Amino acid sequence: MSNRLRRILAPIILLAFLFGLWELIVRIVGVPGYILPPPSRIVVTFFAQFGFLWSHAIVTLAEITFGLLLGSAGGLLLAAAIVYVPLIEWAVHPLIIASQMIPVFAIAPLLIVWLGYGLWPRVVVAALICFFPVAINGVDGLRATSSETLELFRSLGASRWQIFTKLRFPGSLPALFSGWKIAATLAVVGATIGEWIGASRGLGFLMLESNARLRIALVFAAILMLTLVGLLLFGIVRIIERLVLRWRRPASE
Amino acid sequence: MAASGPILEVDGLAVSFPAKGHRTEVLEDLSLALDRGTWTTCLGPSGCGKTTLLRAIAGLIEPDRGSIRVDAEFAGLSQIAYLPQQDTLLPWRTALRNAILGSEIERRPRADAIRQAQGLFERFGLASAMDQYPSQLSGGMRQRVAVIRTYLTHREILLLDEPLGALDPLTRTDLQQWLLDVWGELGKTVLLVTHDVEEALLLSDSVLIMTPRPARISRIIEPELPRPRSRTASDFIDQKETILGLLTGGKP
Amino acid sequence: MRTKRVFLVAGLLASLSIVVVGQALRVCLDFFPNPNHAPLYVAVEEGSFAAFGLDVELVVPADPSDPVKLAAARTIDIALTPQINYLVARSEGLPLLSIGALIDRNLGGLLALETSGIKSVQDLAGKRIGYSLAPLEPILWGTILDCAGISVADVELVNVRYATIAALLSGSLDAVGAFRNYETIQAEMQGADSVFFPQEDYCIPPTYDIILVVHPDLIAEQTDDLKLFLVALSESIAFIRRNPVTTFHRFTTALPDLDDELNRRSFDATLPLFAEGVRHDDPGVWEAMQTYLFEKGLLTSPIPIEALYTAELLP
Repeated sequence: MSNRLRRILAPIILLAFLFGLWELIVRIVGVPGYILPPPSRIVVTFFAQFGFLWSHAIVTLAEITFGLLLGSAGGLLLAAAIVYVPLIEWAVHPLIIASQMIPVFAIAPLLIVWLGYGLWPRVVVAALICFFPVAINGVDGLRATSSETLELFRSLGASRWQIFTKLRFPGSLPALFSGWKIAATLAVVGATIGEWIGASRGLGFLMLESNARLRIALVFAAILMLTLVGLLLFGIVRIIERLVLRWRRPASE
Repeated sequence: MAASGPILEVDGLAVSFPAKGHRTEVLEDLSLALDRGTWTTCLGPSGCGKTTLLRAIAGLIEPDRGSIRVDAEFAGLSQIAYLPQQDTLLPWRTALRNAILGSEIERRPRADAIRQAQGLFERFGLASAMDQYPSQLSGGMRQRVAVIRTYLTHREILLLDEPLGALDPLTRTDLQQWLLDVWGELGKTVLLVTHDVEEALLLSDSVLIMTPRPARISRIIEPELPRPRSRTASDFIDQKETILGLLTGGKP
Repeated sequence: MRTKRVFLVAGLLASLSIVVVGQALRVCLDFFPNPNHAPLYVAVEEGSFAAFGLDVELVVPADPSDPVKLAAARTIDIALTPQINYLVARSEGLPLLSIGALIDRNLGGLLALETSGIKSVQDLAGKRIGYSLAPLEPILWGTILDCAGISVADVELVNVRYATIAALLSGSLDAVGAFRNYETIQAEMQGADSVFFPQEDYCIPPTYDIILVVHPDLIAEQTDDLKLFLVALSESIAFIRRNPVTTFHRFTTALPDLDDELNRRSFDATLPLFAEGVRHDDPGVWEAMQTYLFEKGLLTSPIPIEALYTAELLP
């Protein structure tokens, strides 16, 4: 069996095994469906309600995408500011870390007062959660330039802008992409939490409503859809990474 | 064609670095002069301050005392090109795009730069490497690209910091010949630093012997050997012995 | 002789300890503790449950849809829940039975600010309404709008969890689902000119807004305990009505966080709403509500009324 085939089959087999175990336990122990439904019912619900789930998924996907873009841009700008202006680093670094400790529910009312109930509060929540890894990795990445290469640039008479665009920024891309992959998964969580603050559509909203209506299989189907959305996003980021960082692959591959 | 005086003159250069409460003198009262279009090598043991010398000439560090003067016709930092010791090829650029880095920074027209680079790549055996990334190239190829990049800055004085130091002996020998070929065709004034005596003799018009720290130039040797030089020729070997003697004799 | 006395004392102490500890009953509230729950807290404070040999523990749910689930799974014994939520749960097959009511009136309605130009339900067209309790609130407010001739599609219904009043007062929402004995008072205290549309005025049948439900097996296992519990609760309700000042004091002793003007006024407003004798046995109410929910598509199939509640435990 080729390596590639093995790589694709391994998680599928593991998942199938875990689902089988779950199904067995639920049926043998007799766990009530309104607490934990068996995976068979979840899958059936998923396909039966696919259109409905997808209509909510699109809303959440939009929030995730905008949140990720906003958070990434913010994170990158912040990283550049920290690297280039030491004063900003001393002042802002501890605040950034503190910002991650504040639970979203504490700032939710503020967001709603400022931004209302449209798309924006959820986009902002997602952005707040996912800017952190981009910022931190961005700082490390931007600082990862070797001093010799920096001297080379200076000896060539490069301006600070040129040093940033031709040296620091391209050199920071591997670290940035690492941060970006993390941010993509966090953005999914962020958008969902944002919807729990106040929403009328979206997978997070659907989870709340289905839970309240005791349609637990639908809750899990929504979680399944959310997982797929997250995987899709992660996959897209990885493809972009492969394209941008194609110089990393050694000739032997 | 040639200016009447040396193109580069270093006079009484002194450089020191702070270290553990006092200052370490790296270079002291170092003087040298380069004539245009010549190949000069600074020869000295490792750690004697060769890199510091080049960096001072390139304007990357401030000397404590002394002067560095470039001939009026070639004045300005923009006439000195510095090739650092470590591999400074940008991994995310192809060899060709790495080579045109200098032109890019100086905002020269891109198409011309690419054409020139392609020409040099082909002329000096790098055609296959043009669209490859540094990670796909051997150490020797990468150094060749770096040298081409230095030449493509179109500057008159080239400072080369032990460019062959990290290569294995076979590759080093290849590259020494290759450097000769390139310099033979493209010219320019070269100041090389190295600890390899044979390399110095093979390439240089004059060899400057550097003392250990605090370093100065103790002797200037002009190997009057006819080119092309052979490391097996008897006069070559004689000169090599002489120089080795000078180097070891310099130690206290 | 001496040994006999020792055994006698030991036996007395043992039987005393049984009486003191009592049979445990875990009661899950429907929401955060608020004046609706006064009879429970006052009864605990007064020792009324203990006097019957009951050890009653009051539990706050993490989520308003938890109580019925927990009762059906027998993680807790008695769940407080709105009648509508209970009927939805029964429709989804949860094994539950209603044994009594805490509040036998309607609590809810829509609250809006006059300053946002809303004087009648018709003015809510094109506006944004916030709610916190699904599934019952969206159904109720949809019915109110319908009754007033507005289509639900003309209104945006947003699930805002618990942040209703703040959002209303700041203008982020135009109207919110509200309890007539709580949020209305909150708005008034903030100095806002508010208007309240009680749900029963807009085509919504009367309901028992907080009932007590248990797993049917529990009724068989702990019949006497449940009966005693309901007796104690019923007496507590009567006691509160006769002594509002003292009992408010007891209430805030148990819940010091609620010792403020808002809760005091809410407490007073709730007094007429408690179910006399914890009765929930008007079949007409059950019939009408089930029909209403079935028509709104919230119940898959109606359940025979007798199977929804039992009056046999009522005092």
